[in-house]
Amino acid sequence: MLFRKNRKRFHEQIQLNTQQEITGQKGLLSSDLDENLHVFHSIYQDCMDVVFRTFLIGGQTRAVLIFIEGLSNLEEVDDNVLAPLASETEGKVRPRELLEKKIHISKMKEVKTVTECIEYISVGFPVLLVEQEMVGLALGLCKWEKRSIEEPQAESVVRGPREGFVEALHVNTSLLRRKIKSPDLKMKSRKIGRYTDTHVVIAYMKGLADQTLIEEVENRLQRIDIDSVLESGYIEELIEDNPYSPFPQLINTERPDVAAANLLEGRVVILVDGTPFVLIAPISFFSLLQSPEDYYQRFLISSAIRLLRFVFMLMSLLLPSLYVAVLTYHQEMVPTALLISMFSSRETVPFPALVEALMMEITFEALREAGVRLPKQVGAAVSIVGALIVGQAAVQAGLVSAPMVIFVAITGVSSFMVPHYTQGIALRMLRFPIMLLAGSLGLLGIMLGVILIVVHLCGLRSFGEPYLSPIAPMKKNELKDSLIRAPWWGMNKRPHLTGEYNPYRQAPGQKPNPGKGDES
Amino acid sequence: MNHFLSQSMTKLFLVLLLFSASFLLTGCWDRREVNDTALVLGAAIDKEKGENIKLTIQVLIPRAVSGGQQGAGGGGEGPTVLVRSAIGENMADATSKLQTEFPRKIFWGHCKVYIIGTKLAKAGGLHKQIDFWLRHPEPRERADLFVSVGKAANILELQPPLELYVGQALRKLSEMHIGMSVTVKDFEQMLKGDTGTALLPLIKTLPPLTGNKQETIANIIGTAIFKKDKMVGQIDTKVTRGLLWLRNEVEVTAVTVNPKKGETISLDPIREKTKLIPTIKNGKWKILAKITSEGTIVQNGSHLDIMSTDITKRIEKELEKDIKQRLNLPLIQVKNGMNVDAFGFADAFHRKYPKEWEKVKDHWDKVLPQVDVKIAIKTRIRRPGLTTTPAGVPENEVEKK
Repeated sequence: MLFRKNRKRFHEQIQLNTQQEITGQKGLLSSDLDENLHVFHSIYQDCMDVVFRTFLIGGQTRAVLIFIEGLSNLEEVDDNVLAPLASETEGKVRPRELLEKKIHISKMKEVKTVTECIEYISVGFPVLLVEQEMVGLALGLCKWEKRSIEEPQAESVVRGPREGFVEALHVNTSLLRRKIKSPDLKMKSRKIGRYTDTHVVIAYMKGLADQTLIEEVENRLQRIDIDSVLESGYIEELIEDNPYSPFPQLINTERPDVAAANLLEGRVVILVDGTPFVLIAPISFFSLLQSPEDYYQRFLISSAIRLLRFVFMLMSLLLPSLYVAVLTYHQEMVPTALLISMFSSRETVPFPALVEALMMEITFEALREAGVRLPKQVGAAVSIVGALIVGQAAVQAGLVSAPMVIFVAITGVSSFMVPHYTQGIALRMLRFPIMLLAGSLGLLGIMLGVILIVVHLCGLRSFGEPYLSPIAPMKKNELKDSLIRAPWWGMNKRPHLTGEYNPYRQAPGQKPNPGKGDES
Repeated sequence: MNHFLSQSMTKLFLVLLLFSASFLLTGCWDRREVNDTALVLGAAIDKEKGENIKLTIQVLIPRAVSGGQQGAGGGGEGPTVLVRSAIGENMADATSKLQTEFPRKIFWGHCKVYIIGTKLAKAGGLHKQIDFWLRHPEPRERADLFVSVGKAANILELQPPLELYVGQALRKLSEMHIGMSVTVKDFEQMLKGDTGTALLPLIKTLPPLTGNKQETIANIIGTAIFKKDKMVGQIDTKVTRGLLWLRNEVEVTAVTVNPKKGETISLDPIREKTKLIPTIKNGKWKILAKITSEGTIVQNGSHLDIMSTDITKRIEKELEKDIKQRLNLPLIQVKNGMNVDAFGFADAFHRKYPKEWEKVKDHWDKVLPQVDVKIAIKTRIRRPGLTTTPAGVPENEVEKK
C-alpha cells in the first residue's frame, strides 16, 4: 500500500512538469528578435552563466549570440563569428547572405524551435539569432574542460594498453573507433534523464552482435524514465535482469581494449556521458574472472593465473566459514598437531569461533572501506593503525587468535584477486550469511549455502544469456576461454553470442610450426 | 508493478524470518567450541578387580603448549599433558566417570593411541572394549593399538624428550614398521578372520638416560600374539622381523652377513616380496614361501671386491642363508611353539582350496602343526653403493674372486 500511494503522487508530478515544459519551450522561433530574446531571458532567468551578446551584423542588422560561459570556445567565437560579422560592410546586404559568406565553421546547424536552441546551448553550441530571421544558427564551437586520457586506476595491467576512458563521451567513442576501424562498429545515441539529458550510446558490431540482443538493449533503455543519469550505475540498475541478485549482470570497465574485445565477441557496450565506466552486456560468471591481461600474456601463464583466481575466489567465499565450522563442529577433521596449535592459540580468546570470525571480518571490511574513502594522506595512517591494532595488539591482548588473523588476511587478499571489483563485493558480502550458516550447522550449513548460491546462479540470466554459460549449459567450444585461456591460434570460433552466422573469427591452422610457411 | 513489488517484499521478509528462525531452531545441539573440549591424546586400559577395567586418559593442557611469541613467556615448562584415570565396568562407564573430573567435555576425536595392559590382554575379552572404539562416533578406527609390558597407565605418564606426548612418539615408531603396526580396525578384522589370530605391537618403557625417571619413551620390543582375543604369548624384535617378512609387511631392515670371520657386508633391502603358495598333495598340506629381495650394499667391511659378479653371487647366497635363518625363528617359536597361525597360512589355503578349507576350519589348530613350510629365497644385489672397492683397503689387497 505504501508503494502504491507514492506512485500515484509521482504520476501527478510528472504531468505537472511536462505541462510546464510544453508551454515554455516547444514554440517556434519568432521573426521578432526582441520577442525571442524575451523568451530566452525568461527561460534563463537567474542563470548567471548564460551570456547574451548583442551586436550589429555589418553595422546594420541586430543579432544576438547566446552561449554558456565555459562551454564554448570564446576565442573561436571572437575570431570566426563576431569579428567578421561585426565589421562594417558597404551597401545593404541581406544578413542571411552575409552569414553564409563570412562564417567559416565546419559544424553548423539551423535551429527552428526554442527547444532545439536550448539543447544546443546546453551542450556548448553558441546560438546566433538574427533580426527578421525565423531560423537561428547553432555554431559548433563548443569546448569545455575535460580530463586528459589517463591510465585506468581500478583496472591496471602490467602488459597492455595504458589508456582509459574519460568522462567526455565523444572522447570515449573516438577511443573505441580508433581500436575498431570497421564501419560495422555502430553507435546509436539516445538521451536519458529528464534534467540531465545525458547522452547514452549503444555500441555494437553489426554482423557480430545478435540483432535480438540489440533490440532488447534498446527496449530496456527505452523504458528508463529518470530525472538524472550521473553515472552508468543508474542505467545498470534499471536494465538488469534480476535486480535482487548480489551478482552483477553487467560488467563495467574503464578500458577501451576491454570494451573493444567484448564488442568483437558480439556483446553490446553502453557508453554514458559523464563517466569513464562503460557497461558491457551480456556477461557470464566467468567473464568476471577474466582480466584483460589474460589475453596479452602467454596463454600458459594466463591459464594458470585464471585457475589461481578461481581457487582464491572460492577461498574468499568459504575460508572463514570453513574455519568456523571446523573449529565448532568438526575438530576431528584437523590434523592433531594443527589442532593443538590452534587449540592453544584460542585458549585466551573469550568469544566463540563464530563471533570471533564475524568480528574480524567486519573489522576488515571496515578497514577496507575506510581505506578506499579516506583522502590519500590519511589512508596510510588508517592502514597502519588497522594492521597494528588488528594484527598485533588484538592477538597479544588475547581478544582474537592468531590463526583467525591469518585466515582473515588470506580472505582479504583473495577477495582482491577477483579482477572485477563488483563481483568481489558480491562474494565478500555472501560470505557473511555463509559464516552464520557454518556457525549454526557446520559443514552442512556451508554446503547449504553453496547449494543456494549455485541454484541462484543457475537461474540467473544476463540479457537472456545463462549466467553460468559455458558450463551450464555446456558450450564445449567456449570452455577454451573460461577457466583456462586457450592460445589465440586455438580459438578459431567466436563465442556463440554471435548467433549462427559468422562463426569463425580467424583462418584455421595458424599454430606456429616450422613445417609451414616454407612454400618453396 | 507495484502489486508485484509489495508481494515480493512480503515474500522476502518471510524468507528472512524463516532464515533467522532456523538459527534458533537448530539449537546447535552438537556445537562444541575447542575451548570447551578436553582433547584426549592417548588412552590406556588395565585390568582391575573383577570384571572392571581402569581407563587412563592423557589430556592436552592447551596453555602449556602455546607456541610462537606468546608461548615464550608462559609455556615451555611443566607437563603438556594431564593424566587421569577412573575405574568402570567398561570403556563408556569409565569415560563417564572420568568426565566428572574434567570441566571440559572429553573429546576422543584425536586419540590415536590406545594401550592395553598385559594383564587385561591375557585375561581376554578384548572384544568388549573394542566395540566402544568402533561404535562411538568420536574415536578413530585408525588409532594404533599397543600392548604394554606391565601397567599400561604408567606409559601415559612418561614425558618424551623429543615429542610433545607419548602417543605421538609411539605412533611415529609404529609408522616405521619396525614391529607390527595395527590399528583398531585391523585388530577387529584379525579377530574376525579365519583363525582369529591377532598380533599387536608390544611396548615397554625405555630406561631413561637422565636422572628424571619420567623423561623417556616406550618403544616396541616385540609382538604380542592373540588367539581369540586372548594374549597367548609374545616374541621379541628379531623374531618379529622374520614374522613380518613372512607376512610381507617388512619395510626397513639391514641384513648383515659374515663372508669371513670378523668381516661384514650389510645389505639394505629396497624391495621385498613374499608370496605364500599353498599346495595340498595326497592329503599333505604344504606352504611354499617364495621370497624375493633386492637391495643396495650399504657397508662393506671385508676385503671383497663387490663389483665382481662372482663375489656378488657369493654374497647373495650368504644373504639367502641368513634370511632363511631369520624366517625359521618365528616358524619355530610361533607355529611350533604356540601353535598359532600368525602368518596368514589359513587365508592362503582358504583362497586356493576353499572346499578343503571348509573341512578343516573348525580344527585348524590340529592341522597347523602338520603343515610343512618350505622357504625359497632369491636375493639380488642391485647396487654396490657409491664406492666400488672397499674403503681404505689398498688395491692389491682387494680380493677379486
